[in-house]
Amino acid sequence: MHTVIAEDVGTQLFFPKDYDLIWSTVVLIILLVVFAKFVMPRLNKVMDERAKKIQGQIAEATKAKQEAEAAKKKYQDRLAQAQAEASKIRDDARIEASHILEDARTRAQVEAAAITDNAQKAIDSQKQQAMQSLKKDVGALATTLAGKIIGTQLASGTAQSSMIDSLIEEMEKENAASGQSGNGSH
Amino acid sequence: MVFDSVGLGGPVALAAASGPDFPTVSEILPKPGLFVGTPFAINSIILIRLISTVFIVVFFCIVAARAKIIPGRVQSMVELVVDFIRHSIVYEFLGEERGEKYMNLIVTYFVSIFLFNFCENIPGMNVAATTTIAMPLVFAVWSLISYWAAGIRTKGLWRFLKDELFPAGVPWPIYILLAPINLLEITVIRPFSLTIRLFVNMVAGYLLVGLCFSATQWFFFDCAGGMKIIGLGTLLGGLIMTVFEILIDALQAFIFAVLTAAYIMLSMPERNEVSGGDPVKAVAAIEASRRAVGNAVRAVKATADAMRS
Repeated sequence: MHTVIAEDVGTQLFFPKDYDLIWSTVVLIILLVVFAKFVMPRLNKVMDERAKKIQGQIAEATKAKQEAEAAKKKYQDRLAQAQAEASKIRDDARIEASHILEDARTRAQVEAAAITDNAQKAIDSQKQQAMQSLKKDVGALATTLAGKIIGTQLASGTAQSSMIDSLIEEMEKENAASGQSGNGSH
Repeated sequence: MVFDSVGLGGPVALAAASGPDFPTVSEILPKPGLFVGTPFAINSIILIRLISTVFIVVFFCIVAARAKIIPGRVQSMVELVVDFIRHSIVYEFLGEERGEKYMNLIVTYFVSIFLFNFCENIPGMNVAATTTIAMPLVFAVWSLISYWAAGIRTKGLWRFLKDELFPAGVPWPIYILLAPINLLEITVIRPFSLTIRLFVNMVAGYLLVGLCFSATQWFFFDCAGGMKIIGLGTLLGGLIMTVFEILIDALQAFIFAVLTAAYIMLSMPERNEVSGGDPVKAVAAIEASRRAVGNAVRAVKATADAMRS
């Protein structure tokens, strides 16, 4: 008895009632309309807005990062440039310093040479003077000496002086020859 | 009582003597209690359906109306569901461009079917709003209309029918067999498989949970001594079945939504219009289903992890 009813009811399950179909349709239409016209557009709008905002922020952050990187690169470039310049200046200074040193040395040498030269000249002229006066004095002295030794005075003053001059010249020549060889060895 | 009782509020006293008050299928065919005899008659399951519809409409309208760029907890939850449907079902099958148009439909389906199903776990309702065949049938018929409309709009009626009934790459004698089968497929089999799958799952869920709890009641209150202990087992069984049913509720809603999206995809021309036709598209549909299921499994795992922590 029980099972017969159950079987009967069981087949009934698969035959929808008209009022059930109507209510189901009404419910589905309400749900579809509410979701399509209000719920989904609102939610989509908010979600899109959020996505846009996040995207904007990401773009901004990327831009900021790029700018920071550019600034850093610029700074590094400048730094490298400054370092290069500094080392160039240093090199230049070193080169200049060596130039100055070189100049000073050459000038000093030139001056020293000039001083030496002048000194040499002074010595030479003094030597010349000394020679001159010596020539004179020695002539007179020799004559006096010779006169005293010989006891006679030479008759002519001219003959006397020419004889002495040639004597001194001979001595000078001898002197110069030995002096030259002496200078050369110095 | 105006309404036939559904669930466990039934005439317990009558059954006390003979045995447990097991649920019967006749409880799923409650007699109308309002507007009896009119086309707008309302029985208890329809009442449950109307209440849950009001709940869905009010809840989602409030969430949508209050939606902000920085979401609250409830809004985040709703957005999670919408995003899951968008990326795991709709985009998977229809792609971003064409899918956006069907978002409303698929979201409505998933949310409504899940919440209708979920009524079976709510004390006082105890039966899903989809437990009469009319509701799943109406959902299925609308999905039939949707995929026909999608096919006709994108291809025109003739090409749609030609592609469906005479798929390319099949030797012509086969068409004698294939064309009627395919016609039956796109007009009857698809909507009815959708309907029966959902409906029978809900009926079975109702009977299983009812069975466990009515047996528990009987063991606890009508049996003597040692028999009461068996009631603990059936109670545990009932709890496990309830948890299982929640999973089934979500799964059935997911399957309904996925199949509707898949049918719409199959009606439309190839996404990248390469050659091939039906076999290629079928493979694509299977691939998309596989991915959708994978996504769902991941989502369930993630939810479980989130709940655990």
